[in-house]
Amino acid sequence: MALSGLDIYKLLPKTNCKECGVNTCMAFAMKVAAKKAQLSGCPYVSEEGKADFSKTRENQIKQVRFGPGSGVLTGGEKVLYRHEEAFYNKPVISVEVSCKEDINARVKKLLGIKLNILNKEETIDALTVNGEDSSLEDFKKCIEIIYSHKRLPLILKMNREDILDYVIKNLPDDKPLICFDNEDINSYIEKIKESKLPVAAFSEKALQLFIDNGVEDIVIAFTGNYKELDSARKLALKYKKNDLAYPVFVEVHDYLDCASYICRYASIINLPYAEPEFLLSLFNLRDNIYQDPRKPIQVEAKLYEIGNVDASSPVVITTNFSLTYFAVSSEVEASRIPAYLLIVDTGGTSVLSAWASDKINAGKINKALKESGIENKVSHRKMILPGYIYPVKEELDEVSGWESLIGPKEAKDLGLYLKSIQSKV
Amino acid sequence: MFLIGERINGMFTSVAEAIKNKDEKFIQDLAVKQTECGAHCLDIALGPAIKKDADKIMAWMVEKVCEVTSVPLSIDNPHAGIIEAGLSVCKNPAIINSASLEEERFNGLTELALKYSASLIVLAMNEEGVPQAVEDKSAMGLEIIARCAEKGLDTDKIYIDPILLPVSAAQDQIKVTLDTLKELQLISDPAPKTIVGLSNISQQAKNRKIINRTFLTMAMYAGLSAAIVDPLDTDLMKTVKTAELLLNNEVYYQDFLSGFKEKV
Amino acid sequence: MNNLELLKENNFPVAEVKFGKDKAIGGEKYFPFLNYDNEKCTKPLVAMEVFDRRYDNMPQALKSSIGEDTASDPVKWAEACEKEYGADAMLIRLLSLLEEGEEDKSLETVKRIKEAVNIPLIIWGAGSRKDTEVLTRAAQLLGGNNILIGPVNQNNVKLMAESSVNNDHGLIIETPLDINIAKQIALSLNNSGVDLNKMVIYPTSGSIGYGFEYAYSISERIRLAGFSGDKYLSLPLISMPGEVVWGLRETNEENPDWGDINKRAYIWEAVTALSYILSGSDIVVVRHPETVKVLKKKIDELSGG
Repeated sequence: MALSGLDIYKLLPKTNCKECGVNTCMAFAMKVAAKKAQLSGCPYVSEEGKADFSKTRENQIKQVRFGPGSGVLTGGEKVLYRHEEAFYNKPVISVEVSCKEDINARVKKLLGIKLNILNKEETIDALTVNGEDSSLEDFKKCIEIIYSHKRLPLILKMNREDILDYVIKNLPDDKPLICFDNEDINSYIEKIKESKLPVAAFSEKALQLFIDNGVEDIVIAFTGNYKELDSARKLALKYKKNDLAYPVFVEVHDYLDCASYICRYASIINLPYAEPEFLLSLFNLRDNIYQDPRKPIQVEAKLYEIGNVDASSPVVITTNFSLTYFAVSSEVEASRIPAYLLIVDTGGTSVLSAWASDKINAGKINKALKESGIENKVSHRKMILPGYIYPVKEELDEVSGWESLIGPKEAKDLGLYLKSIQSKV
Repeated sequence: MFLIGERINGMFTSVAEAIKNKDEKFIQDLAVKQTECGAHCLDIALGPAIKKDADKIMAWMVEKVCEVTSVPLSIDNPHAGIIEAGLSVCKNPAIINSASLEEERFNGLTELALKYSASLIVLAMNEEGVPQAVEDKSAMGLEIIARCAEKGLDTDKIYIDPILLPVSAAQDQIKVTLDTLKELQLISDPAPKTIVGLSNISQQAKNRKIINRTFLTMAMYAGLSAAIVDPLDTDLMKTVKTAELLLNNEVYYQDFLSGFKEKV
Repeated sequence: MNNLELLKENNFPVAEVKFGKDKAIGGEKYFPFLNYDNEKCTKPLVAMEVFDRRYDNMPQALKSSIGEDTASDPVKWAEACEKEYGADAMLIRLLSLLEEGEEDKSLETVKRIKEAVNIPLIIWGAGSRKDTEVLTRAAQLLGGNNILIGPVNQNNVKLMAESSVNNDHGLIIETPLDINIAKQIALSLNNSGVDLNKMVIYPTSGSIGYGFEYAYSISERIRLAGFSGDKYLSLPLISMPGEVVWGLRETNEENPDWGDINKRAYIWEAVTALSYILSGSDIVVVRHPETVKVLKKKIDELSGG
């Protein structure tokens, strides 16, 4: 963050020499703070002072990119609560494999997990290769096997120099995240710095060493618990402790831990194993938490056809909030009853939300109805409303000339409802 | 917005009478009434007429008010000795009203603040008077914080008063004060607290209340943290509440004025 | 000031609401498991819900766990929740009110459940026109046992307030993800004589994948407003993942890409529930016994045992 008047004043000579064109150092400090003057206007600020001033970055967690090509971006967070602004870079979910095992079948299975989350396909983002105490041969083989399936971002755990050397020499373009957990980190600092590879710090000592030596892309290998990670993030963002403003790499034992770190503050999460049974939940949770709260996700407000519709097909009304659309349309699909789905523009808000804020009402539904051309497509004049907005029926029927049927409150009951009215027709 | 109730002041005839007659009930009722109307702190001032035994009277007033409320008290007087008389018997947290950058006043009162762990209002003025330009006023604000810090007084104990002048006499200075309030936010992180004596802006003016409350909303937007006000002015209190909602300092709800009695 | 000192906050505590014979919810000054004053952590409660009638169309994963038989008898079901599954509290959802003429039977069932279990009770409406009538009658029947009754919305504030004052029970305010409405209803209840330590807020729950983040952020905002001193929002929070997760494809459909449904379904509920807890829920209401088990274990771990 920008330096305060007090902080700037501390960099000044306090002589009131007026060479900056202002009467006192204090007045000059406030001018610089108010961006009405440049710090360079004072000829007596030390080099260190100038460096301090230019180093002040926006108060946020450092962004670190790792992996081949454009890789994955981690860190970059600015706020403690998503509603204050947004959370930006989804936590990378990685699964650990060991060089000491035969991993081919396992890697194939892991990388084969493809889950459809909110109309996008999601897979495991990275693999953590545990090469600690393994031979260079085994390590090489491990990487080869993984790459034979997919060239994806890697997190490389190692403690031996020969493996470090191999990675720096042979894999620089793949920008793996180096997790070199060695007591004697001092001896390797030059090598690590020169490689320009992103690196994880396993201790306060290592972190300080990296910072002092100008290593750019640092990730903190966090070994504390949920509360400790929260305190680290609070200290970094709320109390401006810049030494803690780095992305965090967390290792978890189970899916509930993973969920807790998705909610609060992990940048990279390492799982010991992965199954679709829990990845499905975790990917959905992650997408939700990292959804930008300022942008309601919405679909185009128009008339949709689900299945082979004809003139007698039911007409279902709902809002253009993406999730509402998905829930309702999938229910209609599952019912095997072709139907028209008329989506009303409520600014991407759900039925309840739209109802509470008057974004859906008789007038809006009628307008959407008339503009959609549905009256030329169906011979009946019955529409199905979401159960929650039943009070709108009287006015809507009057103004539209249609008969509104009160549908169920929950999308999940829509299938049964459609079947029940079909049998009446 | 931290509101300091200004009614216990010997300048008001009824209060001067009560002081003269040692009518503690009047003083105490006035204290309670102000807190019920939403004052977070109470200013205790003798008024200029009291010359004799001022220290004893201040102590008496502070004691009596502490008997009926636990809110902080603002001990208001030009003389350090009389302020100390009030501080020494004050059971509640205390604010010293007020120091300035005039050497003697600054040294004496910062010492008292340290001695009694009191907060301190500091006027942005010195021996040369009150600066007129925004830059000079904000530089003085920085000086206040820096010199208090040197004395061992933390920033969160200080209220900077940019000195509010009457619109009837210094109309061009009102906007200067507002701009100064904005710049004072840049002094430190977190920003230092700021305060004005609201009634000053409408001295010698007609329609005082509307002047007061209109300025207060502007000042709140500029970052003002505290004000010395008349809490019995219901329209003012309602305006503060409304402004807090508009500035998103408090969650909105339909009946946001339901806490206010119509007539006091 | 060292780091630990910095993290201590001068937060206004959440109101403490008595619940059941000897429990209470609320009272905390920090988000769950983040008590920087190092006072003992209040543990959120994991409640289970039963209906006042049989569970129709029971999802496969619940069938294979609770069993259709148990879930066809509310009392048996409630007993299982307490004695076999370890629920901290019980919510009775008056679904039978969705049909005409079931009010007396519903009340009878509520009474029988009350007699069969010892854990604190929540009586919850079904969104029917008969809700308020039956809820207030239930309050008369069971009042004085620190039960919680809801939903309270803008339409039934006066009646529910009256019931709370006359029968001495807590109230759960339901708001459609709207923080302003929640505050307004709390104020209305308070103006009608209900103490602030008798109110809980239900912001409306969404499942993960289906609008979860709205409820999550509303909860955090309510909590933060409460901590900063807004007394009408400094109330315990309740969320009901059990109500919203069991009608989805993810918890009902067989799908080879998604793995074993019997595991996947309760995990979906557990992940939703834990995330609500982290956003501030003092009570989560779930349906699957395995969810209760994994949640309570994790709550113990996170609160330091």
